[in-house]
Amino acid sequence: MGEMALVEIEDVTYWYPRSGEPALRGVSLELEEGEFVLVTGPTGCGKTTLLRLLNGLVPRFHGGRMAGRVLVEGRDTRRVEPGELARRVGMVFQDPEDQLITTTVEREIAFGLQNAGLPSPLIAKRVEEMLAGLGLSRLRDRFIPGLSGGEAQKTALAAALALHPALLVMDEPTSQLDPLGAEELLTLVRRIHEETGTTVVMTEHRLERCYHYATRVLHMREGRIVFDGSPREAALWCAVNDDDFAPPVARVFVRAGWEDTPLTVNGARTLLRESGCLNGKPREGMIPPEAGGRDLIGKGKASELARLHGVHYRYPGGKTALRGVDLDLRPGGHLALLGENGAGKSTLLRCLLGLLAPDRGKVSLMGKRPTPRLLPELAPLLAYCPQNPSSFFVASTVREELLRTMRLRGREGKAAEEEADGILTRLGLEGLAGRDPRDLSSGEREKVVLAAALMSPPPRLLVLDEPTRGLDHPSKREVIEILGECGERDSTLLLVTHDVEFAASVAERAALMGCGAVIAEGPSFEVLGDSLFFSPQVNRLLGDICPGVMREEEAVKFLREARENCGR
Amino acid sequence: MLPVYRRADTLVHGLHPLAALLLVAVLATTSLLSADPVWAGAAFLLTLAFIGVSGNWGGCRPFLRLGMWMAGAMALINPLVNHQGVHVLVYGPRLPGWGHLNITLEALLYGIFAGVRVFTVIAACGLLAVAVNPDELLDLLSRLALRSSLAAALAVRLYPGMVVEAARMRETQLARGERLEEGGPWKRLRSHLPLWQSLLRGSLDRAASIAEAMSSRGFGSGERTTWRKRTFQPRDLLTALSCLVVLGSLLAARLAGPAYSFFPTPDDPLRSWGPLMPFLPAAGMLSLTFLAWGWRSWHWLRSRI
Repeated sequence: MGEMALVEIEDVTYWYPRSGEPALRGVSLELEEGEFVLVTGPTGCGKTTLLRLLNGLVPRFHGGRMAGRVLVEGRDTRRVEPGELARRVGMVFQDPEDQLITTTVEREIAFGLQNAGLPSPLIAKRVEEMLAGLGLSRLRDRFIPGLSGGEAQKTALAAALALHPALLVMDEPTSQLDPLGAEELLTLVRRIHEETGTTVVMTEHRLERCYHYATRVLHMREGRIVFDGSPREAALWCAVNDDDFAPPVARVFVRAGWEDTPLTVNGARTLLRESGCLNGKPREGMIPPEAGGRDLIGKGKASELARLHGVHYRYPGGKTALRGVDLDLRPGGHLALLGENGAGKSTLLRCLLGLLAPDRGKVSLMGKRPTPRLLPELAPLLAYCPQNPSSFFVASTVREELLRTMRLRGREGKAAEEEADGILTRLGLEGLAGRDPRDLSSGEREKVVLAAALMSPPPRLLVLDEPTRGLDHPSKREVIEILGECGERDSTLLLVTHDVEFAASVAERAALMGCGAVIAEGPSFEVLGDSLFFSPQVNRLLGDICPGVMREEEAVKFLREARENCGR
Repeated sequence: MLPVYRRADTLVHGLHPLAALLLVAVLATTSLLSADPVWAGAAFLLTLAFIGVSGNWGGCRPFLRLGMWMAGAMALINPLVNHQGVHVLVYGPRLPGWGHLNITLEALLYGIFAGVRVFTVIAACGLLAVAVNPDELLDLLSRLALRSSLAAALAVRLYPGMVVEAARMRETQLARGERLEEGGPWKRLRSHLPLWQSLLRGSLDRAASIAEAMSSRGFGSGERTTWRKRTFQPRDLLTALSCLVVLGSLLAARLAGPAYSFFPTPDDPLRSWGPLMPFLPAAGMLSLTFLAWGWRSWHWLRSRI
């Protein structure tokens, strides 16, 4: 008799309560000990349900109907005590805010151990072990609401690992984190996998972050596993069949007709070097620096639209958030504001919108000093998309939400209703018109907020705070298309983001913030291209041989020519 | 926004939750249970001194501000509604169905006395909120009621997030052009209603997610153990003893004679006290303040307690 698999899923079909369509359809799968499995697929394809199947939350917690069975270490998850299963399968959820239960880090780690009935000395030992092992010792007494997203997610990971599970399940654990926090968490997970041999099953949208860590990739569509293989095979398969879900480096190589599919920048450069494509001088002029063809400085005067001059702001708690910020937004320009957490980006936005009054310096918005009382007057000219779309929604349906926006912009009646219906159809949201916007997926919610921003009259200034947070690649592509439409209407765009790929695709100007000041500002290809960490992956791959390359299409064009020249 | 527990290096933060609970209970009940102005005044002064000396002044400030407003309101309202007492300070007009609106010295004194008591109770509760770890406190109480303790711990944990979310929603709606800042209180209340509904909906969603996370970590399945991280230290013993001395003195004073009365004229505050009685509570209160000071400023004492 062969060795028993850690997890066996046998022909599982699962329906959520009150749902006619199954979330999983005939899924069969075996997971061996020590694997690092990455599950990919579009939103709603059943990834999260598959993960919840592994620790019995489906169907025990969520209810519904299930056919087939799931065995963890040979035992049916529907027959094992939930507490016992929790000791073998650790789970980390998407949003750190929604999974931490107690008030301090060490109490959080102890929570599961207490539930498992472990004696107090053993709890103390395990807590200490986790604090030291995951570098959380300095946070042991910290109040959980005061932790950063990355710290909170590390705490959730420590709490799951404290039970010494055989299987660690992670559902998009970095989707709410900034790039630094995400990188730190994934490095930690990789270390745990390598040093302890714990089996890891993970879903993740930013594939370039973790594809190369995986030993196996499962690709899902409509509740089924449509591909199961090694990361290299999966990258090739996805690049050909479902190119949104291949890592960006692999995608550009496959699209350029290369047979090899490197997964990392280093792997890709090695391939180019071996092919002789990295030899020779930089190929200037191949990609025009003003790629995209947009006017780099916009039109007209900044004072007409928005300007911050020498703005200082210090929070009542004592933290100085802005130190003499100067920034001009010219009509028609698209500016991306980048920088790590705490650099002052959000404070800058709040000062610009008049939600905070600066301590020193001048702010001008549409030629006036912005205040909360002025904002209703500016509603027809200004659209703001917050970081968390949920804080935008106050109506009970998507359609009502759009009509509310129209009302605030001074438009009501039949014409407004027709326009709302028209824009929902144009963005493919007509099926969601009657749904509660808070029940939608992250991508759908972002699209609804953008739909509201696109209502007429078109805003002169569109302010977006982290619009791609938690979005998968297809949703991000759709957001880029919608923003392209804003550009066509001559709206000015101010974008705050951590996503350099997105910034490079959307904005022709970029500003880098640090310690409350604008450190660098200029055309995107200069600010982002001349950077090791704040540059798109294709620029890190080809920037030194093809200056100005910022977008995938440009990289594909270069690689295609390089392949032809190298005779591959 | 009300403050919440933050880790800090003060005596109260360093106490075993049982000792900390006893301390706060003594500060609050001394004022609440006693009808004697000397006791109430002493409890008031002790509470303020203790908060200051133990280094929790900043954290408790919002509670002290709230207490001050409530004490002021009681001191002002009581003489208007209470007509007892013989020394009339102001002869007011006669109101239909109410009688003469006279203000008496006794009613004014009673209002101040009641305000001081309320202030002390609010300040003591503030100390509990900012300086006692709710998890440890609730762990202590979980022997009696695990689920209620956990619900309370979750409320403490989620409250700051909810406040941040409310502020974020308000800013987003203002930026969207909602007129939240305009009109009188009734109009403002109505314009904020959709925000609160949305906030409530978000909180319910969050509660469901938390329940799922708890289930994934085995909550509610089998016997749960407790993790007692703190052991009883000399400082806990000294604090508890001081508290018991103060409480004992209070009970003895209550049993020694009839309750203090402000009406028709105020009683003599020291009438029911034996010759040694004032020294006992004073010693207890001073030792608490001394411990708080020693914890911050006297390394030798701190290292031994």
